Amino acid sequence: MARTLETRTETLTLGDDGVMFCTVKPTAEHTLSDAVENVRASAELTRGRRVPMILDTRGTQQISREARIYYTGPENAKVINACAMLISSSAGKILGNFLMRVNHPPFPFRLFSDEASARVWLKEIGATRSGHDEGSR
Amino acid sequence: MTKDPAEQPRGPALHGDGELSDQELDDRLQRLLARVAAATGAPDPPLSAAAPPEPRRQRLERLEAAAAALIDSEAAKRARIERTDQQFGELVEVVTALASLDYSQRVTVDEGQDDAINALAIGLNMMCEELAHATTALTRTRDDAMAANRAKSAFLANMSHEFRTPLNAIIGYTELINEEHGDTAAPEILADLRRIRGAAVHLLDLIQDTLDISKIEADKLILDVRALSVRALVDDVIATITPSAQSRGNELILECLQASDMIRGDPTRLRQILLNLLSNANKFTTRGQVTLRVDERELSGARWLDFAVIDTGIGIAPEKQHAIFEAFIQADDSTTRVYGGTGLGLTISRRLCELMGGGLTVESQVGVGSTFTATIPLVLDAAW
Repeated sequence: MARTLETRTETLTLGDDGVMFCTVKPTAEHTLSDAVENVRASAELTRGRRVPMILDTRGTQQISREARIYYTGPENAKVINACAMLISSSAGKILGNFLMRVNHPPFPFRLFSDEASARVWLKEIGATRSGHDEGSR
Repeated sequence: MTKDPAEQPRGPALHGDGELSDQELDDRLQRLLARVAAATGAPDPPLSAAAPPEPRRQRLERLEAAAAALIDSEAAKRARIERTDQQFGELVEVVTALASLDYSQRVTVDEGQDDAINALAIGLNMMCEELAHATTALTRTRDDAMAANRAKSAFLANMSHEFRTPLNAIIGYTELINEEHGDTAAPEILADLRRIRGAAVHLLDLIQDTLDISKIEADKLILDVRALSVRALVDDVIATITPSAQSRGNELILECLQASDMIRGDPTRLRQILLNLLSNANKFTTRGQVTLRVDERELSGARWLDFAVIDTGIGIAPEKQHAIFEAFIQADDSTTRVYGGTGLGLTISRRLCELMGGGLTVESQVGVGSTFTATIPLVLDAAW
């Protein structure tokens, strides 16, 4: 059964298919403490497994440098094995490209404008395979 | 384009005294209401022939409300345009700061503003943040590296000095023993003495090279410029290298093609460059030819002296020709093992040539040979 957790800036739902759907709350500005809280919430939902994530950032624009680094660092890599970021604006595209090309997340990362394409990609790269990467890495 | 009815000339509807008729006033009020409603997006109740005419007061109130909405809307537009102008101004300021390598400026991101402008603002802000951090990190790394290099140079200079003192004592005492007991000592003891002296001199040369490169890197090497005879210099260098060339079966050739002789330069450092180039040529050539060709030429209004050392040795592969001028690098790792040397000679020679205002170049072909050309500005000694 799908489980959901709320933090100050995100709503996180781990679906039955093993995909974590993360919605960033509108206009929420992410600080490092938000990033730490969100990664901790993700880990609580996945219970140590590494799962693919669909990150819906269509409601936000602001994220601090420290938060960007944390999201694309080893702590988050312990929780997610791939990230499909949903964007709907030029600002989202710039943010996504920055995360991808400057912060270099240690897991597959790609930008999408719709959820269906994101899910297809996660399946194609094998991130959703059983949805239960045991997180040995 | 259809002209708005409200703007139509009202001539025909006028009474004799120039006032509007009630009907005309009602019609024009109705048309104005429809126009304001269209501009503000508010629905205008359709007129029906069967419906009783709307009281004039009511129409006026509707018109007042619509006009107020229009005014509010215009004020909001103006505020938005002002914010946009302000954001553009900030964007220009940040780009201007960026162009002068100032990464501290930021653009305000306004959630209610145009997405494209906000995207530019967010992108610029992130870029400034990253550039600021990268620049700080690079500056710190550069400063650390420079400090480490200075410490290394100081260490090398101190250690070189400390090594040279006992080495000179070893060389001095072996010479003293050789002088005092050369006639009576057993030949094998004399041979051992020669080996001790040879090893000590070699070690001293290596230390001297290390000291030179550390001085050059620390910008502490000062040239001792004075009058010198080119001919006397090259004769001396050739005389020094001749025994070594003979021992390797090489023919040593000197070609002095230059017209000038008395020039101004640092004779010690010039000798060091030529001996280094000739030693290398001799080291990498067996039973071949080593030529020192001296010539002068004019280029770009200046006169130059070329010392070309041409050998028929093993040559250097094209991909290695750049690297041989870097400190501690020889053409091949195995070169040091086979031919010896610190790998500093060419680095020092090039840097010395550059200090003199010239340069050192190489042309080479594997299996055919190499030509190293040291070029220095030709400054004639005024006394001659």
